[in-house]
Amino acid sequence: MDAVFYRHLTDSHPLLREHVRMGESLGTLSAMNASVPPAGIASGFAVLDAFLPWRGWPPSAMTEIMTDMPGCGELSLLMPAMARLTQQKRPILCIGAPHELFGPALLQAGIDPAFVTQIHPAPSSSTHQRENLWATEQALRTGLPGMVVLWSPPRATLAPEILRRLHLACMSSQSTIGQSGSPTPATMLIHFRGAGSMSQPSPAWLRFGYAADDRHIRLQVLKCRGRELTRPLITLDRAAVQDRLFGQLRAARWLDNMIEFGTTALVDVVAASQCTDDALETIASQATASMQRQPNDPNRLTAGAITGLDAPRVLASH
Amino acid sequence: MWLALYVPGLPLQAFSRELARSAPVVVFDRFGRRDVVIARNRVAAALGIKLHCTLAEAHALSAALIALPRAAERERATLHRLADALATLTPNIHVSADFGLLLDVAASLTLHGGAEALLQHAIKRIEAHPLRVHCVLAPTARGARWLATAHRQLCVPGRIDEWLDDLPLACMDIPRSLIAELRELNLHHLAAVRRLDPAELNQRFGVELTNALDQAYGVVTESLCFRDASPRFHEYVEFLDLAREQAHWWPGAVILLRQLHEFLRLHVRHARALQLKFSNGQQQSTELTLVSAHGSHHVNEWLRLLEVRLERQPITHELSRIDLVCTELDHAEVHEFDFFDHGKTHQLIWQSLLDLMSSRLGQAHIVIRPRYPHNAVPESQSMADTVRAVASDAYHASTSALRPPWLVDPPRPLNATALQRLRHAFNRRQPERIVFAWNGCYGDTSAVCRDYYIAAADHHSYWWIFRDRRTDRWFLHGIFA
Repeated sequence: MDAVFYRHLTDSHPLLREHVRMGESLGTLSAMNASVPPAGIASGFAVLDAFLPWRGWPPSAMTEIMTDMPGCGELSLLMPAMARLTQQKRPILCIGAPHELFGPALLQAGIDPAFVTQIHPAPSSSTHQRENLWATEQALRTGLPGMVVLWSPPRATLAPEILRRLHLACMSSQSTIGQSGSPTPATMLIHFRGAGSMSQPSPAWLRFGYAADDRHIRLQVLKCRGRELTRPLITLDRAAVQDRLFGQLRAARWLDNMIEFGTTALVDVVAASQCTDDALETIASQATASMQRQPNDPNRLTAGAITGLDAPRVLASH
Repeated sequence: MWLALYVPGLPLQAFSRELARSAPVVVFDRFGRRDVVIARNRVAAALGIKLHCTLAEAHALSAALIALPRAAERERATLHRLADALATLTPNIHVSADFGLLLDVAASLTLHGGAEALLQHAIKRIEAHPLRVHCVLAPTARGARWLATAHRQLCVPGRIDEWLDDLPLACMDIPRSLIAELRELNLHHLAAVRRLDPAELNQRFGVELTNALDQAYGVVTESLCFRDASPRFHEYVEFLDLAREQAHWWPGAVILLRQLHEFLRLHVRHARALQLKFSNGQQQSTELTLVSAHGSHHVNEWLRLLEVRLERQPITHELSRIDLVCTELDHAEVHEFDFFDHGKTHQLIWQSLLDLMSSRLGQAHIVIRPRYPHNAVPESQSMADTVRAVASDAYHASTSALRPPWLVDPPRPLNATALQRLRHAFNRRQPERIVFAWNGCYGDTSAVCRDYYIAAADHHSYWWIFRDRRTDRWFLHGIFA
């Protein structure tokens, strides 16, 4: 009804028509309904994809993730998208990461390390910040990388014009490729910043604060272009984001309980063996053997059957 | 057939031609304790300065005399530049430091339409260089060489005897003392020497003279060593005034890179690295190395690399000369050449971007793909697993042990306080033990035995920590980010 009223109002006078801009030109929800936003790179988390208008991370745009707790699963949040991009043989550029990326871990997450390039890994301070921004802009202007991940020092303050420049470079990436060769999906920029930047303005299409505890990951959405902020807090299950880590931790906890209290249910051991690696498969096989030796109680396992499990598992010995 | 290219006054021609025109200039070299004039220009000759006179005598004849020390490197570079230009005629080029070039063109005659046409081709190519060169085409190498010292341009397709007989003895490349002895015997031309009995000549002057004559007249064949055909680019520009700002010397760098572009195109090569030396005489110099990992031939690409490198490492001193050396050249296919810098593939754009970043940020700051540090044994094991899995195409992530996405390299020691802050280690009862006990591959530090744990740390992060069983110390080695 409001839309009809304002349309009549603007039609009533030419001056108003020139100076009042309707929602279609502002890229608001109504505009999004009128024209479908470009499809993004699926984040791999259904809750997040359902919330975002692009059904994933926004393409050709900057996304800001602001946190003061680096190393709490924020990289795992990006890994499904990174894996999808490397499967499409699109390079990924990580600039200014606090530590060096570990190839075997990337491989475990389905990311082909051959397509991952790092610049200034493990920087000593913010001295590299200027160079990192330059490298980011250069990479975005080529339009080649599928994803550019930039880490800014937590206490760094970036001027709005710098952010604007990055964002424009990001938006121009698609057209750059279109001129010279075959069309390629756009480059997206993920910018990790300190939580202190949440109060600062930014041209990023998607901005959220990141917080994590042992169970959940909470994304406080500060800005999402094309969507009204009716649901500013998205909660993800951390065990789903870091599934392998939490699977191993869960299995280890079961194993601890088993050794601590002497007995446990066989189904738990089997479940644990499905969560973790071959070590627990060995335990399960030993438990099965023990069960065969004690047929009177088929569902119980004594501590004696797993004697010697305290000894660390030797992975490689030469 | 041999094409002899004689560069008269090479020590002088190696310097700027403009300089040699404007003032009396001599080039001197040191013989014993005396500086002797070995080349002079026309202005100096008009003033009465003669070859082989001392430098002091030359200065006495002209107060405005410019005396330059001989630059053997320049002479060599000049000859090699000339040889590069003539490499399209034949690959067999002999470089003689005191003469010029000798080209074995016997196999190229038909291709170029005969001796006369080949000579004209050579002259056309030489004209592109600011050099005065005598060109003689003759059946023997030594004969062509002698004729070139007396004739500016000559083609002798058939009998060489008739041309050589009339030559004065000074054209021969034999010791000056020997020529003087022959003149004392009233022998002034080669024909006169040839009329003498060779046995008597050998007895009196040694075999050197008769050997030279036999080779020149084609009685015996002469063998010459040819220059290495592998191309190497070395060019320079010099400034008459000291260039202070980048805007002043930048055109010189552009010219050099354009020359490199032409050179690479001529030789169908890619350049992987080039060295630029910005110098101010002997006082100051700055060397820059530009690297293109994929190999590039295009001038614009090198200019971009140079620009970003100069932003990071500007030249802070004055310049009088810029040298450009390029030794790492790869073979390229003609169809790979993109003369207009268009139609680049995505792969090439990506590699150019990496080159650009390497040039500005430095190679050490770019990790093209996640590396596996040699000092971290678990990573080596993981790498081995990965390689094995990729090779067998049967890799399954769940079969390998869990690894953190962030690697703390080198491992950070954890003190007692840090250990207390770790709330608890979840898998304390089942650590992952990684043992490497061989020597040689990783040096003495290879004998390690570590128990790895996943520990919950502050701010709900999870760390990959290990206990070194030999020293009983704890380290942080990764973060499950």
